[in-house]
Amino acid sequence: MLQTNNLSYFINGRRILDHVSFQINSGEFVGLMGPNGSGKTTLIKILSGAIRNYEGSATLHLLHINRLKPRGLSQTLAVVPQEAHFAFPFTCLEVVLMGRHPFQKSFSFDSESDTQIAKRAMQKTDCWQFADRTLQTLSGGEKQRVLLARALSQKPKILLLDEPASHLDLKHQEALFGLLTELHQSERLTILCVIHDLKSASEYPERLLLLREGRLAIQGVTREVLTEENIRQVFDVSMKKYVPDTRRMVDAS
Amino acid sequence: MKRPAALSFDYWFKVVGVGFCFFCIVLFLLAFIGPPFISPFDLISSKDPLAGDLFFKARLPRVLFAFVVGGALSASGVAFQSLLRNPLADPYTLGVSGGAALGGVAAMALGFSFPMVTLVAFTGALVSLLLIYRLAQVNGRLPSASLLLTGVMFNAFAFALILLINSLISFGQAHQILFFLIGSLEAVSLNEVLWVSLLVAGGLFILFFQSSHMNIVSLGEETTHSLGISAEIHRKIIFISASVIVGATVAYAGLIGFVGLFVPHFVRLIFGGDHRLTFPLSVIGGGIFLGLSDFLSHLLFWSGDLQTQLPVGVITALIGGPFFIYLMKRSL
Amino acid sequence: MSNFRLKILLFLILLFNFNILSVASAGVVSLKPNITELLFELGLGDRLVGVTTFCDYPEEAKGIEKVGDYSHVDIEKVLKIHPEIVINSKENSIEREIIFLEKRGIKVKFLNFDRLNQFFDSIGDLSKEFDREEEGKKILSRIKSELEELRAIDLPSEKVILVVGVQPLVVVGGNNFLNDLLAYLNISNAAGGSRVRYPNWGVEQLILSQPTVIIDLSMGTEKKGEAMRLKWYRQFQSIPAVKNNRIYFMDIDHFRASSRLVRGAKKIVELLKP
Repeated sequence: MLQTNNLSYFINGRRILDHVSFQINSGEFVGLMGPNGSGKTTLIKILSGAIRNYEGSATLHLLHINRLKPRGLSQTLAVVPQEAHFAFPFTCLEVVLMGRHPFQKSFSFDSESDTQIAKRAMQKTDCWQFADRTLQTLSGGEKQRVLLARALSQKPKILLLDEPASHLDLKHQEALFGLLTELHQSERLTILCVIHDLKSASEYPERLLLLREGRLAIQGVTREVLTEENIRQVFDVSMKKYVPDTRRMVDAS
Repeated sequence: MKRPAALSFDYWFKVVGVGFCFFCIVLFLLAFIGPPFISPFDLISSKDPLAGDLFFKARLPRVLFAFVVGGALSASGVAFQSLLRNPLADPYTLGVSGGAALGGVAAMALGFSFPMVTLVAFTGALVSLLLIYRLAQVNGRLPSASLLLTGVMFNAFAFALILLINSLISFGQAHQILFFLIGSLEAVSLNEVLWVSLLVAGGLFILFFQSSHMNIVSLGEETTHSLGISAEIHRKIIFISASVIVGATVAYAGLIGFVGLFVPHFVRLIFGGDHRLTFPLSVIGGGIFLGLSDFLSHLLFWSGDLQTQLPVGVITALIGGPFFIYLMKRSL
Repeated sequence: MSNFRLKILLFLILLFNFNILSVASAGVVSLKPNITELLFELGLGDRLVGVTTFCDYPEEAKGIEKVGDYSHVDIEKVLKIHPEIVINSKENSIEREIIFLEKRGIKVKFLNFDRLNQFFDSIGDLSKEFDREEEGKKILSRIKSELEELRAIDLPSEKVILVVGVQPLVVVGGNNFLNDLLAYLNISNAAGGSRVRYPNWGVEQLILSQPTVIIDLSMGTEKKGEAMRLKWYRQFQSIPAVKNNRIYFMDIDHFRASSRLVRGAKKIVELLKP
């Protein structure tokens, strides 16, 4: 269970998050939405333990995240970052195997079972075919699939994703959310996923959190949150333009 | 041996094993070949003091020292590169070399005796690293860009101070300052080599066991956390061990450039990015590279009537510079 | 109104006064310690108005205004002094600075001390410049005859190495003033075969060259004590000079190209005499 209470965060005196409070129960699939600069990525970083000097509280199973050891945290919680820069020529398999790092001793080689886990994760995200290619040779979308595979090879209970679909083509976007839904249903994986695309947001997550200027503007069940009025309030655009059949979906409930 | 998709122990053992054997063979050959050639049998059998002196007082310390310094510089290069997530980082870009040289030069200007000069150079490296570390910190974190910029600025500052000292002190001592600035593997005793080796070995030992963490650290601070290790702690361990190594080598060998930049890059092009393999291979490769450079710098002595030898830093830069640009162009 | 004129006049006087004063000065500036010594020997010491920070001989030289160090010249100081002539040697000079002085109408004379015969010629040149040819010839013949005397002494054949610096190891090679001096005295220089004037040696080369006498001139250049240096040499017992305890320390300043050179040469000969 992920929970925040009056979570605030400042960079050089500028408020990035402003008294954000929410709760994500185990096994939930939650979407996180908001315009650029609304604090989505910062929130993900706080929940993953990368930012530790926040105000208020952020807890995982009632334990303060900034007091958890990274090793323990990373054995339950995995992150798919928005983008990753690789300075060195790692192969895709090597990168995915790094997901097993939290379970390994400080200097060791990957065991057969580690490799099997990595292989399965890569097959799930459709990137096993470039296992021996270096990251630098991949496209943005292919890279994102590798990063997702790395997160999956951590065998997490909670998965945080920061715009995992931003570079994906339509087919792989669908495959990604299909995979997330499947993992969520079959393994009761808790998912918090930053989504930009209104259509995906309306189809996959059970609940949505809408951030605006660092504040949690609206939260609730997907179909209740995705109303014309809310979208206009948070994103300053008309929803109809992006999801023409929303009404039908809402009516169908 | 084709590079596999991911590192396995078998492959690691084979490559590092072959590398290590190669390292030993080159070391052995360079120690005896010279020129002039020293026959191992002469050393054992005859009581000719010349061969003994030549080998144990001059050749062996110098060749060993070249291998130790080369390995150390290359290792610290790997460490700093993973730390800064930048294959162009090395002890120079981080300012640690500059700090060590400044310490050594200041000690000489103050008229300290030679062992003290070495000690102060070493202290200079450590103090400068702590200073750079403190100055580069932003909100308790250590961003790569800040570390890199602070290092480059600190180096420029250190060199300005060295030149300032150089212009204030007498002409005579400038000779020794030159030694620090161009680097030299000469005139070390086996004892001194042993001391440097001990410090370097300590640092290498720690760094070796950090090498799988270097993989993670090279992915950036946030990913480091989400893959289960504390960025702060491991960056500190890597930074300090690498700086100790640099301090020890610069104190005794002066500034020898390009090894830390060139060798790891070369190793990565062939064997990939995994630091568990890159690190030991860079140590081996750095030793061989500096050993061969030293060999070349001595060859000039025996060619024609010049009878002088080049500073080894000249050779490393002459080989390293163009080759590095070639490699970079090819990999882009 | 007249007050204003007076002011302008005063200003102009002040302005030109500076120049008048500087042009009026007619001294000599020496930019090398050995040149300073030679000028004193020629009896021109009282005409010196500027020397370098390294000009420490004779004692009177220390009191003269310093206008440069080993390679640099303080251009502003020299311009202000505006000497009649600046005397310099080609070695270790920054050409740009000298050209700058020449462009501003200061006469600069270059002497050459790279080789022993150039040193002899330079004494002649210098004395001619100041119309002291008689004194110059006297000094020259004295130096030559004294060196000749030394040359006549029968020395055992030794292989000498002159060490200028230990870290890095720099020795006196061929093609230079000191090597010429050794050759003149029939002393063989272990590094004389090098075309490089001051070659960079390794410890290996020092051992291999097997010198029978080591003369360490590096006291002035490095801050390592004599005892430490001796200890360093003593490790190499296979070098004859070390085994027979023939390591000597001398100040490289005794080998400046002036008549003091004879004393330095004498000392070497004494060291080598059986």
